[in-house]
Amino acid sequence: FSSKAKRRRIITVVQRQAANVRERKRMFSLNEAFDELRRKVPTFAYEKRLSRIETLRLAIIYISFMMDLLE
Amino acid sequence: MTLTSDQTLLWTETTSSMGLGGRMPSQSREERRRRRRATPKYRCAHASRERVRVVAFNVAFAELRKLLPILPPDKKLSKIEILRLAIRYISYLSHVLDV
Repeated sequence: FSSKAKRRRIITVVQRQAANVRERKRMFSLNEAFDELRRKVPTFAYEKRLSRIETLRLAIIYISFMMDLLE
Repeated sequence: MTLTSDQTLLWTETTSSMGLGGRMPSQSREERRRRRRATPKYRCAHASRERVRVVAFNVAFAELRKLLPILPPDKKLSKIEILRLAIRYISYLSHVLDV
């Protein structure tokens, strides 16, 4: 049986720091993938760099466009 | 004698706090901004805006996922997987179209 009272989660400073490092690495590789997707999609001029949400939306439009061309 | 950038920053913040240089209010622009942002009302509104932003972000990921030819079509993919598959799929499509 699980206890009804919620135990407060005790987390050490070392655990928190390790979690922060993991999260930074995760975000870094996610942002690298975003950069690669930016390169595949039109308008890759660095001054007009697409935001992450814009990159996603443009990828959606671009893929749909190419699939329509295949018909 | 030229001021370092740290000295310049200290000088402008001090004089603008003191109301010199034509600035009547006692707070600098930065301090006013901090005051405004510290209120619970602002924080609440900001959290709301952030939730909306995150939802839109996740919706875009879902829409992109729908276009990717992965079986089964309802298979859950992580964000990084969706991005990597989209990259490969775009390469494939443009290759097919270029022939």
